[in-house]
Amino acid sequence: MADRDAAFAEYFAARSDAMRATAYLLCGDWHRAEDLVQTAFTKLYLVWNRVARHEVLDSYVRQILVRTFLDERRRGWWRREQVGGADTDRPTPPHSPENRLVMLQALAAVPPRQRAVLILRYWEDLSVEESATLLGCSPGTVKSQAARGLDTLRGLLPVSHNEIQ
Amino acid sequence: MNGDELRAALRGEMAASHPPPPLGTAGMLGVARRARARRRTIWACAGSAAAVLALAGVATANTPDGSYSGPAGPAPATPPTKPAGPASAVPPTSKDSATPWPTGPDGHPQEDRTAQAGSRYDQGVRLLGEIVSVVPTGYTAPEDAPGRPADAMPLRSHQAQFEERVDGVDVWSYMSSAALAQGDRTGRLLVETHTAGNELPSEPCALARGFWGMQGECQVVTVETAQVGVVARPTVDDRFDQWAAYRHPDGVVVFVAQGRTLDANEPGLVTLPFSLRQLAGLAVDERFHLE
Repeated sequence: MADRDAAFAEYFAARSDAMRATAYLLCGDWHRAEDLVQTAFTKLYLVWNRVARHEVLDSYVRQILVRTFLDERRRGWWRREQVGGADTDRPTPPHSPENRLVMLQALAAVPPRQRAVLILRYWEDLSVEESATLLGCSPGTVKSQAARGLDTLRGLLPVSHNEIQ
Repeated sequence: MNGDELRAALRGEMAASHPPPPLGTAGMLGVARRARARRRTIWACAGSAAAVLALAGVATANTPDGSYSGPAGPAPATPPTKPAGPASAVPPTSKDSATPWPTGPDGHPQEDRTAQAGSRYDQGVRLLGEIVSVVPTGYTAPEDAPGRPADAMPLRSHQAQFEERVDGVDVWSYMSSAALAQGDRTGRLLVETHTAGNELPSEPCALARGFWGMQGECQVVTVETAQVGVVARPTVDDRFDQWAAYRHPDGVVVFVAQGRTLDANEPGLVTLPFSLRQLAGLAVDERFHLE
């Protein structure tokens, strides 16, 4: 295996699971998350020799991931967001396993850009500035989108779920 | 819920999640190498075309009347494109993936969940053909033309993909889509068929509302003896305007979805091509009942 491939394979093995988790939270579907990860790592592979500073690999892949997700949503493509397929109208008792679905379903219903900001800020723990750079917007926009996203999430979650949090 | 609470909730969600087997490192390398080979081929073709055009231009410019004046000499040699190693050279290992991808028609495991050839691939193609066969009067199903912008939505598409393995049975889905045009306005019709053994809900409306996670106001429509879940209006997602879902007695699930728009940049249809009852009828149509 060439050095390039070996280094790429090593990085993929180390980081793909984390990226897949981020992608899953963005799109709500493991298969779609896998497609997003595959797209992001394929693009990384194509420019591998040009990404000299390997400490920026994470941010590069994360940026492709998020932008690909947003772009596909903007165009109404590609496919499903299937968070368990359960019926959100059905009430779920506090502390039940179904609360996972409620939480993920609520997150999936947050508008995509707000959702991306929430994931970057509170899952990836990026700063406001880092999130802004990744999304290509101002820090102020990130702050307002995060506030709106949290507000949307609050409105979507059942009262019981908000209470147990 | 504030930011800190969301952070904790997300970590809790992910800690309790059960993701399917990931794409293995070898599989990812195969995909990436093929992408690089494709890009090299494109550049090589572009280079060859440019060289040909340049030579033609030189040859033309060197003749007073611009007519061809004989051999222009050998074109600059284009460096041979190095083909990517065969994908099968790096089959996924058990170390990379707990569940190997299904075996493709070449006898090797697939590189990802999409079938690129073989009987499953053919089913996706067949599904697209069946969609075209149900286009209602007054509409056409245009085909992708060479001049269509690269970033525009494809007018026709098909995909066969491995979904999961349930009790040793491989579950596949076939998703095909066609644009439906009326004058200069374009909408779309999509059909997604899941083979038997899938773990999708059985109750018609739970099935329908789960389609792509879109959710919506659902009603059950009876087509002869079949109970079809039909979402007439989405509540949180507007990728489609209406869709129907039906589980056949043998477990095969069919989703049929219609949308007024194909692409946000193109004018959409004024009215949807099918009524709700027609949409429900399509969901039980044997033409979309694929194995």
